[in-house]
Amino acid sequence: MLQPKKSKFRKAHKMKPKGIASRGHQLAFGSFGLKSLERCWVTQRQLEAARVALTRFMKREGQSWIRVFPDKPITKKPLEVRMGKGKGAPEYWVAVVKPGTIMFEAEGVTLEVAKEAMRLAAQKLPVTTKFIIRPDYVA
Amino acid sequence: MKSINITGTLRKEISKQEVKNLRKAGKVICVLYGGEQNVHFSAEALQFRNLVYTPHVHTVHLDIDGKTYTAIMQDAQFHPIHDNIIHIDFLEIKPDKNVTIQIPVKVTGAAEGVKAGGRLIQKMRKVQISALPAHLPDNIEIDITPLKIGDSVRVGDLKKEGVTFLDSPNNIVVGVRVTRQVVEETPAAAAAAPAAAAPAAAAPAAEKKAPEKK
Repeated sequence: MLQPKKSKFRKAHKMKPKGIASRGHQLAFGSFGLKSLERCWVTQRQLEAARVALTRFMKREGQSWIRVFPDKPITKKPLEVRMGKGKGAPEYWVAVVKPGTIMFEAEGVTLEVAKEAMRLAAQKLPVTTKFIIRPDYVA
Repeated sequence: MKSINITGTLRKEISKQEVKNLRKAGKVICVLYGGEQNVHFSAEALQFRNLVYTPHVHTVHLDIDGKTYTAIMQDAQFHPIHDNIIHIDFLEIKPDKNVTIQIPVKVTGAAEGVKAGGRLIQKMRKVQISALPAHLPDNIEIDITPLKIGDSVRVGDLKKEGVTFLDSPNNIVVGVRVTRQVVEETPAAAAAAPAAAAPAAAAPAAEKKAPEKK
């Protein structure tokens, strides 16, 4: 699963992602992409599940890219522990996704294959998404 | 190069509110620069369909309140969520001034390497060129017929009269790669063939010549 090799600080504030994506909203590598229409935290597990679904359907043909990276640590307090006594221990990592962010890209497969692969990947994600194609794409 | 006509109207006032109103009315905000002075105008979004959503490159004949300009599309901005066109930059072109533009690559022919089981990989869809407007080609045509497995055409191999290629000469435009199937077949074939076949196999490799470019 994706996670940073090292981090400057162990724990991060929650923060609220505001506005819409001002970067990472255009296709940069492939002809097809999966764009988020909502804001959310996508966990490393969800990203991995989506990646597996995507590459399995593409049958290792073509190439795919993950455009987001889970670099925000999320903490959790142990079960049956009273409130207080400080912030919990880091539990997992998430990627902060704003509306408009492209999460996955694909290339080297047909439009139909890419569409179905992205649909399967989207089912593993906690947001509504849309399938996008490069404006100058020719089948 | 093919051309497209676009009719626009000058913007009355340059303000955020005006931009919002124009976009609500289905118009795209545009700017034309490169001439004596910048021209801010708006045009119907539907007119840009054949200019933006196509792999081809066009010159644009702009008619802005009766005044005509010849330009190329320099940049297009899209809404992050809806992907509507929100802004377009045009660069005015003059007959005696070089233009820098990205031209699509057109691949023709059937590569020998592909027939032998290789896979055609197109690394670059467009190449950046500099040329006078009269010399601007519709596309850069590359004949891939002589490409064998492992061969490639680089930017440095491309030649066209009156055109300067601005990308790094080492960049691969199109090539034929070895697929997994070919790699698997090769050791089996080598084992079956007699030892005398080895010099014979080396001969075609020596004959391998640079692919033909246009």
